[in-house]
Amino acid sequence: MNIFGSLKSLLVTLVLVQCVHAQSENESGPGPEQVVERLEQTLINIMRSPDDFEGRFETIEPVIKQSMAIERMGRYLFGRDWRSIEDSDRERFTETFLDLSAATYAGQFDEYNGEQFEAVETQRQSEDRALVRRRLITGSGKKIAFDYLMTRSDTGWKIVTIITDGVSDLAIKRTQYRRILADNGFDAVIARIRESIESQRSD
Amino acid sequence: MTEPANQPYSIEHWLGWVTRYPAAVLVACLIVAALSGLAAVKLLGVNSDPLAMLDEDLEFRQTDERLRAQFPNLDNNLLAVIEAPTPEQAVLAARRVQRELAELSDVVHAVNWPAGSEFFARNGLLFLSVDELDQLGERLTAAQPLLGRMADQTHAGALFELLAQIAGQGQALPPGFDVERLHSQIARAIEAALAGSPGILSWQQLLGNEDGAAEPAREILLIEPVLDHRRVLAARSVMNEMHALRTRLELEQGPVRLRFTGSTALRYEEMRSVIEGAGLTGLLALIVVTVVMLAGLRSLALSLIALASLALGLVITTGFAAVAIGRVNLISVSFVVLYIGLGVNYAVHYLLRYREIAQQEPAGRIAAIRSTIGAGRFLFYPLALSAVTTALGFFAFVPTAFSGIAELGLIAGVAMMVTLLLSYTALPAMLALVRPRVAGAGPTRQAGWRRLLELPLRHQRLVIGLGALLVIASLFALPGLRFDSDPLNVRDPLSESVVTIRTLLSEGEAGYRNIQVLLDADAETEVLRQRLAALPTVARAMSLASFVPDQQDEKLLMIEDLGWLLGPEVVHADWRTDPVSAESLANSVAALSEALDSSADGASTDLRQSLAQLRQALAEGGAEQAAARVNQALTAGMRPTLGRLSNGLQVNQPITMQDLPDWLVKQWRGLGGSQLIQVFPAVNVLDFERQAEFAEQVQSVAGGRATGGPVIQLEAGRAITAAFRQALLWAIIGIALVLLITLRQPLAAVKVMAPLALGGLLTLAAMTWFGISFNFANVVALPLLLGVAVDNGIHLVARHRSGLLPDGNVLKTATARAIVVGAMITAGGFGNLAFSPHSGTASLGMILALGLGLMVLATLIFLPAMLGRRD
Repeated sequence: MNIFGSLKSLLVTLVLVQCVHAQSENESGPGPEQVVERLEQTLINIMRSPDDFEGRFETIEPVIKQSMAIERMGRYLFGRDWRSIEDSDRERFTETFLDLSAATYAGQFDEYNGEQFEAVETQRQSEDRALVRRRLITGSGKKIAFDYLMTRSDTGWKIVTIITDGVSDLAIKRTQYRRILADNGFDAVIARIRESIESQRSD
Repeated sequence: MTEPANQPYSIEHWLGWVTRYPAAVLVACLIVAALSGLAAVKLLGVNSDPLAMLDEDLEFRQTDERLRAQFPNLDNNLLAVIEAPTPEQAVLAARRVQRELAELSDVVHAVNWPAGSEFFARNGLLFLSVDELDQLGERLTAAQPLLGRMADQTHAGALFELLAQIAGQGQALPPGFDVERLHSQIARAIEAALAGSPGILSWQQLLGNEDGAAEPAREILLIEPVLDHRRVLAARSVMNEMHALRTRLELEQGPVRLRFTGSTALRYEEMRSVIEGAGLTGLLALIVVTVVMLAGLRSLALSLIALASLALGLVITTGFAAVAIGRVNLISVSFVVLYIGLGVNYAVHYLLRYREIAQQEPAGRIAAIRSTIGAGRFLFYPLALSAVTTALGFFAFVPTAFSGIAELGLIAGVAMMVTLLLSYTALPAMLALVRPRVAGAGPTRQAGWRRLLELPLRHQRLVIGLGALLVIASLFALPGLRFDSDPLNVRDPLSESVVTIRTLLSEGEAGYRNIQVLLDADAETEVLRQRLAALPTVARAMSLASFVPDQQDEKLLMIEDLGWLLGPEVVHADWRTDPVSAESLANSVAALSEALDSSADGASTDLRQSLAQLRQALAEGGAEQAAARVNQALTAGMRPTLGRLSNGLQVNQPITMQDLPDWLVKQWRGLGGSQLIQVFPAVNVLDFERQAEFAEQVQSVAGGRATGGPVIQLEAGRAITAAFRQALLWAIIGIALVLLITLRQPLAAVKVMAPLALGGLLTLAAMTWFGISFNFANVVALPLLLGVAVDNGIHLVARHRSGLLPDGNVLKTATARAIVVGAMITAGGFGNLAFSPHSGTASLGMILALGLGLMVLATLIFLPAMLGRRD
């Protein structure tokens, strides 16, 4: 057998494999900007809609579920403690925290005063990490910076953190939750999240 | 006159010849002195390394030599220690000092600031333990809102606006962040800035939950100095440049201070203190000697002759030291003072005897020459004997492993011979030339004195019994004696380098008292390192491999998570202070004041007050300057602290051995490839006993491969104690032999030695009472004192045997008088060493003066009592 022949076929195979890889990368669903834009569009929509809290909640929840890496947020919120939390509790957390996120949006974005989002820039920091910088312009012309830190998982690009005018919501919650976890245990954390959901609803 | 049978008539001939050709003899002496002086100037060096004072063949010295050869930087280092009220000020000053030092390539090979190095700035977080990293993460997360806001706008206005928001909403900051403390520290910083003082807000203390009033922050820079070993003070130009740099940077006094220590500075300052001490004490000794001599000899001419012969002897001895040894060390340099104290004795004895004879003769040339020859003939035997015994005291150290004192012993022993020689050449020659006239009347003593002088003879038994009691009493004090081999304790305790290294040591910050374990290139370090680290007296043991942190994967994950939590703004911020105009700052101040006023709690009154002050300053002239000063005070501390943190948060690769920077590897891998384990003490190494325990434990694991301060001190202490015992034994044996041979009666030899033993024991007892320990420098004292003080006994016995005794009492003779004058001169000379800034030299002076006083007193009281009255 000709050695050069087999080498050539090997090279061809390698090139083919790379092409397949490159293609799969290109075809992996919506990019980070699209994910963010879809979330923001939904926010504008619920502000404009005449729905009550529950209605807004129902609209936004599936979008959040699709665009946010809630499970990943658990890791950041609980740090080293996350690993020692049991699977069933993790699931419970993921569900409850998703509800909180939806409730927060449903509670805060309740009326429309001409707000609009605009793009600032997108940085692809690595293959599976991106920073999407956006700006919310209020009706009075005030600008609020929204930075979305995103990661790519098997199911596409997802938001991990939102930093509003430099302040990370996750960081604030982490300090609260870890303290409750250390003092009163995981159930107390869940109870606390439920409380927050209720307070959004009643506001 | 019953003179010993071996009294040589040739001495009389010799002195006759000398007094016949005095000019020729003097010229010959001067030529020898001139040649010696030349040799001293050309050949004499100084060895300022304390370790070099011990025998090179000792095992620990060989290990140390290998270590020095493999790791030259360990040996001659210079530490620049920067202290400041806040960590930020320390870092900023360290950066400036590092920059300036890099410019001084004439005196600085390299500057290293490990804590500020790129390697540690980048990988610093990986060196925290997982728990520490977790805690840091918690604190940073709690402060995220503050950091996130100020990462983008690093100025005081943004800070005030954020605080206003927090005050307004009441909840924007998570519970982990103490707003009250932040308020009060900001208030303090504003007031300081408006008052014009240089303090800045410490973000490290804020984020670290540390109290602002805690100990000063410290940064340490390692300097590799350029040393000029041709000079006595090899580090002089380096140290001068360092001090000039400190003045230039205004780091001498203020809150931010720069101090220097490390082996180079310690050695430089020690050597300088020794040299200054030698100059000062030499001069003092000369003054004391002159004054005592004038009082004792009562003749200016005789005193000048004594001084001239002293000067000749000193120059000739120095010449000998230059030719025979080539260098003096920290201890042997004190031969100058020893020589002044001892050498002049011979002249005093000679000249007092000259006086005694001359007073009975009519004045004139013949009389002077006859007195010269008579005195010389009479004194040859006791003076020669004195020279031999004193030299024995000195030579006793020559065969020991303590080469520092062996050299002193050799120099001083030969010096005694030189003195004897000069006493029979230059001295009689000068007497023959000058022919000093002496006052006719002999010394008259008070009646009370005379009665006192009778006491030892009148109450012989009582006096001897008292002596025996004193011996027993002082024996009880002996177990309290200590040998202190800590070289820090012999140095000037007030010198900058010693003060600084003590501070560092007491706070566990300096590796100065580490033990180094030197291993071959192919040795297995890890097993040994772990065994060393497990020792109870060991805090930690490190090798090069210790710079590859453990659990790196987990830490990297934690750091990555932290980056997600804090956000990219925080991770990538440069934290440079942004400018802010007085107008916009005034607006932010107004907003914050308003928010504070309307918030429910009445707290933060100090912040409100300082904000009011600031508003006023921003409304007056010079508003822009005030704004800039306050802006600086509040935010200049962010870059040193947070810049470093941001840098550290960007790490994403584990450290491997290949990543370690060269300067670090150089500290742990020797030139020949050998490996180093640094063992850090867990005990207070300033406590000698604890340090010895530390050294012994490490030695029990590492054996002869261990070296470094604690081991060297332990071993040196052993070597020196052995040397001391050996020398003392040799001195006693040698002196006893000489006494036996010359006095020919064992009983007489015992009688001469007994008061010395008593004086020696009393000296040791006094040392324990006064809390003086033996150390490197003063251990020479006791054998030396034996050699010096035994002379007095010999003189007294010789005079006693001569039978020329007023009232049959040896204490009423010129000999006794010469002993007192001589002892005062010698003790006065020795005593001046006590004024040396070098503690070791000073304690040597104290022991010598005290010991000599006690031995002479014991000889004058107890020897006559034992000898009895002679009619």
